[in-house]
Amino acid sequence: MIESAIEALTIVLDPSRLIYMFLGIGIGIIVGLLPGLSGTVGMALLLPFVFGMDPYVGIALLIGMVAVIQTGDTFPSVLLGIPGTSGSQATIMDGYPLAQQGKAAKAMGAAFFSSLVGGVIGGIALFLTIPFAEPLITAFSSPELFMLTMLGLSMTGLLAGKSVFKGILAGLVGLLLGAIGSAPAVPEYRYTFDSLYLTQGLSLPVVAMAIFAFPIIITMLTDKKKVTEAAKLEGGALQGVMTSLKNKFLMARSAVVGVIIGFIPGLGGSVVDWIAYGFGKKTVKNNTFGEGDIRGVIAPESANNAKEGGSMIPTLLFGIPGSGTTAILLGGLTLMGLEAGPSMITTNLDVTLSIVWTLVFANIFGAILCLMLIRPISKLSTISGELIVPFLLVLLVIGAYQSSLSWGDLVVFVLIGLFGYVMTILDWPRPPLLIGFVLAMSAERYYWISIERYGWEWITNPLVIVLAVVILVLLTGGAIMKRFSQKVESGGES
Amino acid sequence: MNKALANIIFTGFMFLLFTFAWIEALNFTRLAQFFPLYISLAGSTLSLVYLLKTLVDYKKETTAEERAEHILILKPLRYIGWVIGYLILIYVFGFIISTAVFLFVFLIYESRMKVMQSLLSMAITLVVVTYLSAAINIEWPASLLGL
Repeated sequence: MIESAIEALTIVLDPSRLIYMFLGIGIGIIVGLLPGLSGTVGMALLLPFVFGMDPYVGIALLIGMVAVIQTGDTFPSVLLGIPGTSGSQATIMDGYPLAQQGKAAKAMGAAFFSSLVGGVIGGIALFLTIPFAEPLITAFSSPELFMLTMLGLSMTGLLAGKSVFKGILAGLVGLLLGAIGSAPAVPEYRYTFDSLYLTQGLSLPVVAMAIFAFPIIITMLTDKKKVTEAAKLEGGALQGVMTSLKNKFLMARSAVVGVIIGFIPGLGGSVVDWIAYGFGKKTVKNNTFGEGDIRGVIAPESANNAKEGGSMIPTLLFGIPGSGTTAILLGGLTLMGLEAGPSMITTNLDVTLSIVWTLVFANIFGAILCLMLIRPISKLSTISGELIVPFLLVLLVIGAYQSSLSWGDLVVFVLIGLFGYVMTILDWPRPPLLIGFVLAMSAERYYWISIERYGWEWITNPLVIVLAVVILVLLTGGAIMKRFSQKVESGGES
Repeated sequence: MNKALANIIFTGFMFLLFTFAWIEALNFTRLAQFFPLYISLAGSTLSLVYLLKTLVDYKKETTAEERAEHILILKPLRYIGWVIGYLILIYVFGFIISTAVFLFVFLIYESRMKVMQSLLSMAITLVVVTYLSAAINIEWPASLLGL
């Protein structure tokens, strides 16, 4: 396989293909920068162009774009507190407070370097997993997937803030919002009030933007302030890179979490950053997560880029897409005359390996490009709210509308935005609401399938028990894990 | 408005929301019902408990200092009005005309920008948005007048 990997490397580094990879990287960063646009939009945009293309060229374009979306989306998350895509929601928790302290450049330096490392680890994981992928994927059936959604939901407890009541209630509102639309177990619509728009359920990008962006634009106007409260921008990107290096174990741990979550089809990439954030919060000593701790940026950013490598495993080897983006990628492969499945590790192994290399290179080049853009773009945080908000609102309206090209998206944006604003001024935590919303459908679907298929026997599955123990340890054993982490990371924190 | 009182009202709203949700869920078939019913019952119970707790806490807070924390009402409403007004404009006149009007008026009245600067900012934004729309196939909200 090493020989094939070297051969694939020479194919990827061919200048005529590198140009397409850079084109993909450029588009990926723009898509990530604009709130509301996701990998699915980027893929849909590029898909018509790959028809009949040389597979290596088409892959350079598509994978180049996908690999860096999670890197580019850091800009709005840190500078404006608005998630660029659904994979950068957790970055806001500490990235935005850091920007408010005038440390936007440092936060983004750390984020981009962590993204680079996470993305490379994701590519390596894809390479290493190729021979063992099949038994690993089949080990996860509906009971294990249900337990994984429970693991995600347990993060609401960790992110509840000062009031557990408020955190749990916010999580329940999210679950209830996620129940709107068609029921997974039976052909029936719930809470749609005869609205055609609601039959599809609420869209995640719209809910995420409403919950995080709407309150921020109103607060920026009422408080008449800039994003950064500091007089001048402190710390440069290099300082952020050095901080990431000091937290190398956190970066590596989070990347592994990202690969695992990405690797499991059906869980959805939107929750990976929250899980990595929760793990980070539980395992890092003396942390001030939520108040501007740079490690709260490193953990989700490393995980969300690593996820891409993990998600390629089921997509390429079994034709099981874990997200809308990978589903469109499957279509792209077909347009280029390829078919996902076992052939990707036999006759088309060189194509699979070129994907690995493209993931690695795109992450490196994308992060370098973003690092170069930090200085000019971070000046956005010093502009007065009254000057930046009207332009931001135009972008948000366009972004929200792209979700389903329906006016319903804009109405939902305002209604949930108002709800989010009230939550903000009354100190109710918003992340639990989003986690509940993201996991509602998966939780219900996998619970129902598990019960229908296995009765209650699934509770005794070894992997289910392991996951239950992990959840319990996360919720109750924080002190033990912190002590363990202190030993591992001695001297490695900022 | 007093922040503690606003919190009580908001918690009351949450209680009503969850209560409505479980009453509505009773109309669903069994398989569609179990998830929203249990979620909303849990939410309803928990919000009631939290509501009672905040009410008790509110009554205990007797000093003026404890009740001093207030939240703004009118000022946020003014800016929320701008957002809703912009959306109504789009609904009637279409995205381009409404964005031009919204940006120009907002920049003049709220941002205190000079007329020329506002016009220039508005023009640049429209060019960028139109270019992005053409380049990456972004669609604009539909309007009543079809503009």
